[in-house]
Amino acid sequence: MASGSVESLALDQLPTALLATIMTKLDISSICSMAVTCRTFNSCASHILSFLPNFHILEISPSMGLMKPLLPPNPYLKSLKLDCGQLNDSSVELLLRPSLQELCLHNCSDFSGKLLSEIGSRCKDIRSLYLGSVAEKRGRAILISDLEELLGGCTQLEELYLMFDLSLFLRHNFARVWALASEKLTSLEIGYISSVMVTELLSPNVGPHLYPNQIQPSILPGIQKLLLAVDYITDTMVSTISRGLALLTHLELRDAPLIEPRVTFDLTNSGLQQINQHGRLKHLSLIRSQEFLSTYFKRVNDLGILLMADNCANMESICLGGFCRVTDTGFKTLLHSCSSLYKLKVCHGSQLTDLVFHDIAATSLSLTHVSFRWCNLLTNHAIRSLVCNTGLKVLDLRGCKNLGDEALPAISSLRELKMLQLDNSDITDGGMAYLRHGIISSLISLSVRGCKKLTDKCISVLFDGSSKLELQELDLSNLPNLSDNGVLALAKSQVPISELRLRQCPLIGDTSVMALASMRVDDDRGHGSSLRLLDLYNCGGITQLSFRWLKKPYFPRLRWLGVMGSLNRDIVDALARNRPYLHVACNGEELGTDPWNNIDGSYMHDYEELDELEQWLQEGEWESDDEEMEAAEEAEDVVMGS
Amino acid sequence: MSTVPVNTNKITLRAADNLDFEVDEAVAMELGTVKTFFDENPDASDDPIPLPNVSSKCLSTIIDYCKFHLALRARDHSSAVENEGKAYDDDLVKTLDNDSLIQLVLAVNYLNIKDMLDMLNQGVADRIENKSVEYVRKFFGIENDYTPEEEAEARAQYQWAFEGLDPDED
Repeated sequence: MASGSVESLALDQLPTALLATIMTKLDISSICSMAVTCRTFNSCASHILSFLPNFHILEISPSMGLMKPLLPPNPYLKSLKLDCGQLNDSSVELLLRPSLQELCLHNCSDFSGKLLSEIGSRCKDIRSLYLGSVAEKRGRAILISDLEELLGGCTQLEELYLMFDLSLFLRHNFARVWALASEKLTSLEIGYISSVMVTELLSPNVGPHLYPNQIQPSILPGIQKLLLAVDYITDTMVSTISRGLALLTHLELRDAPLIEPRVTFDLTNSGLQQINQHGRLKHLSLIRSQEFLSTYFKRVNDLGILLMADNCANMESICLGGFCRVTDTGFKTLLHSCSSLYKLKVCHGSQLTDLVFHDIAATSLSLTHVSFRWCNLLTNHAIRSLVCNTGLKVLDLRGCKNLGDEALPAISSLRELKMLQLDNSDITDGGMAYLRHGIISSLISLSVRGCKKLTDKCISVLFDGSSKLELQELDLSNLPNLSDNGVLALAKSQVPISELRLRQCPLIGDTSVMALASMRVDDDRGHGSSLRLLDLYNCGGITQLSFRWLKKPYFPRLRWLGVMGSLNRDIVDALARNRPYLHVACNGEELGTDPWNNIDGSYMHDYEELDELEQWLQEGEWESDDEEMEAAEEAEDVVMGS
Repeated sequence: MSTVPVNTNKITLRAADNLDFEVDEAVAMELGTVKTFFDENPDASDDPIPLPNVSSKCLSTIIDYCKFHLALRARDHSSAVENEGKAYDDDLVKTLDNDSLIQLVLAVNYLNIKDMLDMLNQGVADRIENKSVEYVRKFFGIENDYTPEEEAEARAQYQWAFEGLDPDED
């Protein structure tokens, strides 16, 4: 052991074992990065790969060639998370190890159902399994035997996420197969399934060979968390779930009807009454998505909510989307009945008004996550009442058009606020000053998308002279008055944002890209910019010149880029070649580092369009035409019969 | 634990620059190297224990850390107490510049204090996570000992991990 001066710092003073310990705390990309620094670290890195317990690469889709050297034989590998966009069935041998307890594979469209059966035979110790988009490529298929082998082989399975369409391949014998599932299974999420299949799955008395007094073994008895995306949320399905799963604490159902639901295929007040029969439910989410059709839970009104609230005194989180007939009475009842409520989300609450929050201070609620999307009747007054919940961390008021500057002083009093979304509200530059003096230093995510009154001034108001900001995500899309000067101010302020969205800003051009490229954030980056995501879709002033600044070595951390593809196909392709690990979106799709956890479809559309559609619907849709119903029923018969 | 009643024996530790620190026996026993020494020499005299690889600056920090966490553990194991401990650790790491941090890691490694070492290692890892190759070289004072061909090969192999972070790449 070298004695002598402890001041000088040399690599050989750090024992290799210590270096290795430090390296094991890094993520894979950092380990690989370090391997390039010198020979010692290179051998350290190779060595570590043979005993690393967690292997996570989700930001890029590595090829087989890239993966092979990174996954040597490693009996200690417990957790593997990967984006499998460039992999297929031939990778199965490399990826599936018997030591795995946690496996998370996204984008498996090029795999066949064989992936499932191989997991069942190779990864018998697995506790948590997530499979995204399996066999979605044309020509691939999943057999019911694949699912059978998965469920039968993985006897220790506790959490299962099958994020693809189960109704496509697996209708036959579906219920019988689930009887094989591990008894330890507590969490189940399915990407898409029909409500009929769910009802059949969980109904007792399934099967022809039932003796008179035979007790049918219950299917999935241990389930506590159930998350399903279905075609229609129906009374039958909801009551079957509520009856059949005695330990249910967490229920999330989302549907996206293709046609107007018939009364027998819809959620009504009686369905809501059935919820929480065993009294354990803590988290409930019922959302009707507007992805294909603008449609709502028209057969549920205040009565249904009142009946449900009777059963739900212990609820901690409630999300209701598409309950357009529920009025203040219903929502208020929820607030007053559920004293442990910390999360409340309402989407399309078109009849929700300020009165709901009138005496919210009298409740003992401490809400932390609040979302009121498309609740057009809410005004500033409601917000002023709402902020008595001083512990609010997430406040989502997207689409509440009547909110303006007067709400902002109240909002800026929320010291714990991390995420604030004010899309499409009526705020102005002056209002933003309140945020500057209150919460801007603790916010992590801020969205002012579509707040048309904002100008460049709001950037300087928010960020000038602010130091040590935590802000990581900023959405300045759909701002017609935001120009390059605003973005220049943003770059000068050196806010360390990692996600910046500037979609559909007509005045944003090449200067902005240049400014962002040269943004210095910390003394590590010679070429500035901590941006991982930059969305410039349909920005008016972007020309081919910008692409010079989008190439390496600028924007060193960029993984997601949104541009207008019609600009010049060659240039976009050249960029993709220069940066092979950059996701480039050219068609206006929303960018996300987490695209599989998707928001409902309405966020995808241009905000202008949706507003008008909303208005038209609200004016004319309350009493459904008999003729319309008949036509819808006919259409549905045709669909169901196929 | 031993059945000997708690005593307030003091033990003297001598840092590399010959500065002496007097600590309670309980605190001294947190230092693995010191504990081993006493286990092997139960009749050790009261002479100060020399620690030639630890500067007085580091030793002072280490003693404060051990004292604080000992007292914390004596209270209870509630989550509030845990948070206090975490806050102390975070503050400690925050105030250290990169060189001091590495010095401290070396000292704690020599003294064999498991929890503190783990915490400091995490601090180092946090500082070099997602940083460029150049930054890491500077941080550890590394000489680039690759030949140009070897370096090019390594960069090509791991290109995806650090896309264009270094200005000299294009």
